Amino acid sequence: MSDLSVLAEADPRSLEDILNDDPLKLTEQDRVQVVTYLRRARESFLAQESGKLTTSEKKDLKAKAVPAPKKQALDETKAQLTLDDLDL
Amino acid sequence: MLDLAKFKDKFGKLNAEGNTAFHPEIPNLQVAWDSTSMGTLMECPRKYFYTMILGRQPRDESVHLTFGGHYHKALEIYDHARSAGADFDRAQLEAVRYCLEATVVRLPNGGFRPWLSDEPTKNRFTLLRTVVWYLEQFKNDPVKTIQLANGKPAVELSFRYESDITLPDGTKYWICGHIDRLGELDGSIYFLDRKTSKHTLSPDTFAKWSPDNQMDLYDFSSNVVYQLPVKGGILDAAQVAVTFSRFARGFLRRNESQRQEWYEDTRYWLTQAYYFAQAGYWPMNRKSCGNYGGCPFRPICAKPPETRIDWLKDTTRLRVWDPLIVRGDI
Repeated sequence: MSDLSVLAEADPRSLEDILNDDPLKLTEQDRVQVVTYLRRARESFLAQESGKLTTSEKKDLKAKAVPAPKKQALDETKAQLTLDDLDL
Repeated sequence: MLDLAKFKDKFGKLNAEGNTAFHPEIPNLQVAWDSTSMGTLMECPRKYFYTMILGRQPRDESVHLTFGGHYHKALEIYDHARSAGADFDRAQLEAVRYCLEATVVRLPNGGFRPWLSDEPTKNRFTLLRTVVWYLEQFKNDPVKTIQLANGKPAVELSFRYESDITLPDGTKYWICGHIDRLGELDGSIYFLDRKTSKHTLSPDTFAKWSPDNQMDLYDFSSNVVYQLPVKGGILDAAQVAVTFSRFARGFLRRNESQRQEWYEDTRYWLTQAYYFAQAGYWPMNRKSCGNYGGCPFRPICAKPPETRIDWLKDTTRLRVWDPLIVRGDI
């Protein structure tokens, strides 16, 4: 984990950028960034599950949980979204 | 009787033709059975006819099947890397690499587009998150993968064996399939399987797998094929939601009388398959049409029989399914 973290911190590209890039052109560092991001998201989720987060931290987690989709993808899916998707 | 010649004229290629899982002389009689084909026959003989004899499937593959396939493959890559000596981080990165590269569609102009899913819980991001979080959860998995006699890890194992269920001409049915992993826990051996769902995990999550044809077939077969005292199954269930993935592990146990009961039931069903093929007719099971969110062939079956062939042509595509094709190691 520590080796991965150091590599990931070197070039903190957003997860959205990485997911929108050609996967065949992604570097080892990009993939490490993905893993690091997801590990942190999991830690936040587990902390939230155990009731350790403040309200503002919970909001932050929810904002981080799904990277913002590109406008085109958003347009393609928004017509199909329902209240159930809020996962309340 | 369903007129196979008409379907042949319409579609050109039928799944049952030249398929090694079918009898070489008795038309449309499958002799090698996996849990998919057996389960489809049990669910609805007409659906079995459409999918296994004709080889038709809806043009748009179910997002749940696509997601599940990638999830299994990514974890298989992790398991192989670990068994080959890679440390946790390296093996996890290999699984992530697969998820990223397998979920894009290559375009003729050399470009690409990401896999687009209309299901909010099943997309590229939730796949990556579910794979990484699963591996984190079971980083120090107490279940150790069995090493086969050939030195390879017992991961994604294809199996097949001849049963004593015999056709009138003396041909014996074969039972086959693919097991995710064989592992050892506290001195006992288990087969392992992984499932994903968007539903909340609860004790009912595991209760619904007993009885279950796929798990019963794996349980019975792992004892037959590997000649190991396989105690039962371990099922790792993943709940995939929009903002999180959650996991639970459950045990599936059958005793010897339950195993024999599954085998006798299988004998009954495969005998039925013989009579269906002899009659050239696979009836609808009208009580299954609404199961699992609705059968994809329901719109076809809702049409008058004389028009269904055209509807099938317009809304489905060929999928060759041969249970004897090996995926991993035997």
